[in-house]
Amino acid sequence: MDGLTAGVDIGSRTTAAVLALGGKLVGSALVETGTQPQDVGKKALQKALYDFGEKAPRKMVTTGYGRFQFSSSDTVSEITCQARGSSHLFPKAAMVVDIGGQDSKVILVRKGKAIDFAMNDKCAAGTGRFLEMMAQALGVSLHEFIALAGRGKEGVRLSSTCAVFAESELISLVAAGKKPEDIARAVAGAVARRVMGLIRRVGLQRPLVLTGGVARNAAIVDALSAELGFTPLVPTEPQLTCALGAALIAAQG
Amino acid sequence: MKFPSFIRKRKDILIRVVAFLMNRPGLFSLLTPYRWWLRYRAPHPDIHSFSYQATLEYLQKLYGRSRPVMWSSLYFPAEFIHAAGGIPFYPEIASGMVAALGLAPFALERAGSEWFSPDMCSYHRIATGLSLAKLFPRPDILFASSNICSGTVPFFQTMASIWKAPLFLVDVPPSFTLESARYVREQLVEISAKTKEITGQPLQWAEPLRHSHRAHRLMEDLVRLRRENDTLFTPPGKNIDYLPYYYQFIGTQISVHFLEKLVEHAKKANAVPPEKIKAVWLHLKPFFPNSLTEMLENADIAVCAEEFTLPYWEAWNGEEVLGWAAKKMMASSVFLEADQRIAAIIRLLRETRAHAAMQFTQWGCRQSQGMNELLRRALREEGYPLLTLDGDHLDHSHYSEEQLRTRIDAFAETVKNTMT
Repeated sequence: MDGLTAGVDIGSRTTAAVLALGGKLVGSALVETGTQPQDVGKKALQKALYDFGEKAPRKMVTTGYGRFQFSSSDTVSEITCQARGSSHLFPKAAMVVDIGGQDSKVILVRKGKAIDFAMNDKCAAGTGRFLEMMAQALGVSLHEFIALAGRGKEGVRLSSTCAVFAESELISLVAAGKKPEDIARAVAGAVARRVMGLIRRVGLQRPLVLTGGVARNAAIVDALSAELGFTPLVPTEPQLTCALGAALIAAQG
Repeated sequence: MKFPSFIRKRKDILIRVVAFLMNRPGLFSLLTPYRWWLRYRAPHPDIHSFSYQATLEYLQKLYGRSRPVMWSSLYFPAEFIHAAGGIPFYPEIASGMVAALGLAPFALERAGSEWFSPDMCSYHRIATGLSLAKLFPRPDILFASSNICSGTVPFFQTMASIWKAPLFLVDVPPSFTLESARYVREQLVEISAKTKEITGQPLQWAEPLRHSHRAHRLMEDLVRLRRENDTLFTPPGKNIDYLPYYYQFIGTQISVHFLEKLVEHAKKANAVPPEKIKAVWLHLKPFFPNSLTEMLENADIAVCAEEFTLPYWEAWNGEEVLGWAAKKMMASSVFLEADQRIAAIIRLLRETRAHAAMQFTQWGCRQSQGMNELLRRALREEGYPLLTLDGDHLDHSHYSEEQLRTRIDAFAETVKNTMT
């Protein structure tokens, strides 16, 4: 098919492939990145193409931290792709907050283009990895953790934003007899406060779009909404927006 | 550097052997024929060869202990040390060189083994580790000023304790007034007298001042050439590798010769292509082997000025010498005091017609990280984007190549979006 383009986002935890045709998302695939980022991009793309019934796209752009491992395409940073993909879904978007597995980003957007951004430092706080570690410390799966946090009540606060210290603080809260659901809620609040710091660094703008794997976590969306004072826009498939942006950029050039 | 396994297993013995050899000054005279051969092979060396030859000569003098070795913090004037007949040794600059040689892990581990916290600045930890291992040259005197960062004074006090050598501290107020300049000068008068007591000779300022004056003029020429002709040094950021010529060799012919070569190079350099982003580089950069240069080049970023290679002080103009030295020390507040530094950076961005500023902050460095948000806000008001890269200049364990690449690529893309 002449106009079919692909975007592949090789993230630290998951890899997304999106097929676009005429400015619309027509196919996608999502796979775990694992330890072979050089192969996983190809795997995700092949899966998306197979489901769509095509053999190869006309053009492709790769993004994400593993983009240079996939040598057979152009590369664009995930900041630019995220801005493009989110703006396509929400044309009035002025800010994109992307919370991924290993990092979080806040992007200021004008007319679909990134004009400023801030990323977390090398600390894992405010990322999906932080949530996984805290769920593990509570002895529950991430899925159970989300459900727990949904039932939690205010009153417990996790003051540390360092993943190592937060784990120790969490264990102290358990030992102090605090309820797991209230602790889970406190963890979500800690992530939201960390992300708010990044948002303030760039300067809060509305409409705000929340993307990345963590955007599927209702507890985080609730906690961030409480911090923001409004509910962010969340795409139906928040893990695909970056790859979608890459596919749209491929179509342009 | 890979050693055979039987040596690696006996690392402690190896370190002791190396330390033993490095503390035998006579051995370093063996380098002389090699230096002669280098000079014979390249009588008119390019910048890189000149720098190699000058470094070798310096190390020979330093470890050969041809004159008293005087340690110094970055903003204590090197001219003072040259006037005192000493060989200057800037441990913070030397730590950068150690990292560039890939030897930082050993030094950091050695400092860590004696409970020097990893939260401390790695420049200081490396110098501490190599002092504990007796691999740095033993100081006869140490000089330090209070105005580089809060860690400098305790670091130099620790060094004085490890080496059991006299330390002369200069308290430098952050703001310039006639009273504060007089206060700094009085301390230098006292230190001059004490230095004379140790070396047995008065300070001889004529030559260091002449060379310092000439070097200052050349540094000004360099800034002008890079500004007016849109010239730059490639690869971007390379000029920071030449830090010794802007600090410890100032006041000697070595700096003058080096800067003359750099000015010649700048006259011939190409203009910055219009599609490139012109950036001013703030603070320093990672010195261990890394891909930063390639990343900048691939992202179309050209570095048109570096904060740490500017002639920040006023050249000596015949005034009373210790009064001038005091003013030079106080002029370094332009790097260290937030209001002065931010104003100077904005001025530099305007003068160089740069598009953006980039700063690689140092883990544990309150000087750069502490004022980061103030700087970011001030630059944004002036319409200049700032990219802050959080990392460590010397400790490779804090480095993530892909994290760095993502930030640089994304920054270049956002700046280009605003340029168009």
